[in-house]
Amino acid sequence: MKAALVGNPNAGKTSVFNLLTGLNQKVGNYPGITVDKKWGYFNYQGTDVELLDLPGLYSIYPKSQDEEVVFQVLRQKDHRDHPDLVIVVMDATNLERNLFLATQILDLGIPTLLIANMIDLMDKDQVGVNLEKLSELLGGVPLVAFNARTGQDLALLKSALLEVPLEVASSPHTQEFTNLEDWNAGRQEEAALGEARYKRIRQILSLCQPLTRKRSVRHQKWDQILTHPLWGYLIFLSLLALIFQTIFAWSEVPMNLIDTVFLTLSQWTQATLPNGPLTDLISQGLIPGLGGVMIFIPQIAFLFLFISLLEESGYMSRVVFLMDRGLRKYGLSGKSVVPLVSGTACAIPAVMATRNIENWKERLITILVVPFTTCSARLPVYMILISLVIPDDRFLGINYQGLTLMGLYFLGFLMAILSASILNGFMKTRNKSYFVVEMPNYKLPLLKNVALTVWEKTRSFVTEAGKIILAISVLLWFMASFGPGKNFANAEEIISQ
Amino acid sequence: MTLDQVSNSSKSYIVRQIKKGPLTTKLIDMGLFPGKEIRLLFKAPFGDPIAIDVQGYTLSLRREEAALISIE
Repeated sequence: MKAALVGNPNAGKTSVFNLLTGLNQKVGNYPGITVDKKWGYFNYQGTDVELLDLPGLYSIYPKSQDEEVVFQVLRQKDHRDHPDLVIVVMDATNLERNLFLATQILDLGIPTLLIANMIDLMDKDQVGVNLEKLSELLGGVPLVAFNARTGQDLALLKSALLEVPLEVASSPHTQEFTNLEDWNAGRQEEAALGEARYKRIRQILSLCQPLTRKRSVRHQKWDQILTHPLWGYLIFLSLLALIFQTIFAWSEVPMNLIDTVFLTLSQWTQATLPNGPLTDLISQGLIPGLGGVMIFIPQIAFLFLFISLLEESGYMSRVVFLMDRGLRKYGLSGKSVVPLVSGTACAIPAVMATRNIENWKERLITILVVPFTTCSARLPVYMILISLVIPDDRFLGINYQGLTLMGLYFLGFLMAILSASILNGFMKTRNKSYFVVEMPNYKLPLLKNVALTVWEKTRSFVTEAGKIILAISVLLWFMASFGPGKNFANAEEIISQ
Repeated sequence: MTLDQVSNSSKSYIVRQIKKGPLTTKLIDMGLFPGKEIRLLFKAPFGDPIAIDVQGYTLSLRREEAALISIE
């Protein structure tokens, strides 16, 4: 059975996906675009389920590349990823907005299971919604209460999933989507439809929410400090400095270890295997090539550990908020911060991370300038050059070499901003950029989500970038061994003799 | 008045209308439909962007976008 996960960003969709599929996850691409395609497998009581994790979105009407994918997958019955069943993950503490998307999906006429996630917080906020009543009012759609943070009742969720009837009677509102192909033309009509939809949701909710209490926005005190005009920036900068320091400090030992292992292995093969080109290929081409990939694993893993901690905790969206105005001048958006910071690990995932920037100009400029940030692969080169050129002295307790390295990072960012402002000067766009971003509540990062992100990103670095690095390393060995050789280098002398 | 003119974070306002334009749908999708109660939470340095409470969740938006939202 093919199922797809849909939901608002920050509703806990990824947590549900991770709980259901664990390590049986795959990442790929939708053809032709830079949108991650994530899917996984699980088996429950003899049924194999292929679960597609669709990008988070607020409405079925697409406004970004991510959302376009969801729209196509759900809308086109003959799309190769079109699911038999959709699981909509909703944040139970904010049902009104989450039901907006959920009812759109229901109106599409695809078999659906609704999940009211973060049910513990709903109870805490005492916004008690009668979920049975809600399910009934929505036309008897299966609705499960869930808490993805603890994963309690996962078996109940799975069995509810298998019990969803795969035939649905067409919903009375399906006609809204019958001529969706020209949705772009009817934007005002679409806004009116949106208003009408919210009205309907309010009516439904008023019937199943006996006590209407005001929900409070959590953690306002944190925001007062973290988005403070002075402290906010200082905290972000110190955090970045701390992260980079920690990455280098923690990576050193495993990197040296990996280096030694591959060096020893190379020497051992050279000494043990009989002499010949095949041995040379293994000991001078393949093994150093593999080592050249593996040596970056510690740095990349640590960097993604920190980035995913920042994202999972909800802090990253505050940084985006703080940086937006400054970056806007250069044709970037606050949302460019995430790619620019991830670019210090590796430019490839950083470019992928630009996909949620809706405005194509801001997205393109971000993509073009991200490679200026110093990625971890450049680090060894910098290290060698610095140790050759800069004395290992201290001034006021500050190491010159460390200072130079920080300066190089700074230079990278400066070049990125400079190029952005140049690009901004001559790139014209008709579409005005906008910045309408949800700020999720602060929360303790879930270990499982962080671990899976680190694992997935590191693995894709090794398999994707690694393939190329290895191939080039073998090619270089080949050229060094079978190239024109000394005769060519000394051609001039040989001829003049 | 429009949302970008608000500086008082202790008072709640009701969304009256969203100015017609390319962003109307986006703002409505995010829950800013006429009749919704909202409140200013805090502003970034230089007052832009701003963060508002849309009953139950926090939304950040630029002043330009806030200017599209009439409130009362």
